[in-house]
Amino acid sequence: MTSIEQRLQDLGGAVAPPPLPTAGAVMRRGRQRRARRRGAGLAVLALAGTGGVLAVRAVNADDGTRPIRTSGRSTTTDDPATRAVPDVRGMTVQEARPLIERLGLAVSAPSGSDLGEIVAQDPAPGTPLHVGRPVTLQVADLDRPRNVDGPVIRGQLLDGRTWTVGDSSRHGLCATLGSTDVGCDDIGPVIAPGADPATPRAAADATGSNYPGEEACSLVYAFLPPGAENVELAHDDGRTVTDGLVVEPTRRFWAMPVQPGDNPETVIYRDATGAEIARFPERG
Amino acid sequence: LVEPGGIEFSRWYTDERDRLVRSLLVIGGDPEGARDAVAEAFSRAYERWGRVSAMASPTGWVYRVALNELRRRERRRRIESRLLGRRSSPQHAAPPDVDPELWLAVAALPAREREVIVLRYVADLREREVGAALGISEGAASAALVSARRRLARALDASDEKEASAP
Repeated sequence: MTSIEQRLQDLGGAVAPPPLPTAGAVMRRGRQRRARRRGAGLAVLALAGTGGVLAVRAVNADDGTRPIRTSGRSTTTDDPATRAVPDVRGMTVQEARPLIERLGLAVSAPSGSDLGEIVAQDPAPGTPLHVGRPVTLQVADLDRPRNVDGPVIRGQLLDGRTWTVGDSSRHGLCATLGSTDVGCDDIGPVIAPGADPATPRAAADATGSNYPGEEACSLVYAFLPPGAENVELAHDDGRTVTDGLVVEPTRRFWAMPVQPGDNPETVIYRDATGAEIARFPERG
Repeated sequence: LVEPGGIEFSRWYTDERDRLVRSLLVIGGDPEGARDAVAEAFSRAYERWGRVSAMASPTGWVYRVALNELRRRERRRRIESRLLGRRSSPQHAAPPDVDPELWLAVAALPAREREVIVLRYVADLREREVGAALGISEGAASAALVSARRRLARALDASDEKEASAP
């Protein structure tokens, strides 16, 4: 140990930590954030996936007139004492619970299954169910990463068209906007660069600015495609995103923060030798 | 009423917060910013505790979020001070009981080197963990560490000589 290393360690020890909030206060704040995020409609920028850099918008989960999923099913029925059961397959129990409970229905799921992906539900989506009655959720093995060989991912384009990726094993997709998590089924790409008058960048900034209460897209994640061992997020001007870019053992990668106006335009997948095997958007 | 995971979270927070806030304080020099970034990062962790607690390294995650939050605040502060015509980057004074010469030398390091050296020696993370917290490879973290140590040694030597030659 050199004297510099020792002096640095001593420096750390000598710094008095500023007073911090209690665990209870931090948890309260976390709960408030969670509640806010459940209630709000959101705008999201995400990246990666089959179409390349994506600008996405979630549907409004809160007003009951637009379902959280873009399946076209309504969450309301004619009988005021019944509710149409929402389609929560593919979500985690943690994500589905507030959607179901907000309708006045109850959730029946195995204990400890909050992170599990819902593979089946009873009654089926769209079935009218009396308020207070439970929706029973069947949950997949917790060890399986979400959306790897998972269900169809659906979403909505910024221009309103519905988006579907059938083979979600290749490119799972989730995003967080500021404090707001967006489930894989809620987000929608895809502004293909050149195919839309709005560039991905402009679309991203536009979606961000729709919701001034939110900060920025702070977490984006997707799964590596087969054959890829690494990923690089690049700006058109050559800068690459290194801050917080992580590839997890599940082959999910994520990066944070992606600030509005600081969104990387290109996702480059590389193999173990560092050679590029794919990029989105592809080089025109 | 204790939520699922609440006890686990609160233990984790209590164990990790001081090390993290000290590190951010040395990196940014600003006690208030360090405190806010730590509180923000942990409240985000609790917001999505189901997911964060299942990660390979929740601590790595919270370091990353806190560092990003610290940088975000610093950027905003710089923009504000520019808009208000203030001088940017006020030099935060060394806290009491801290070696002022070393404090200044660390503050003078380039940002990445400062982060690396603080995470390694103040937060006491391994090089691999430092890399993960900064989103860089272990090799890059280790190279930045070497460079930072060299720069610190030069800075401290220079000030030793100045002291020695002072009348």
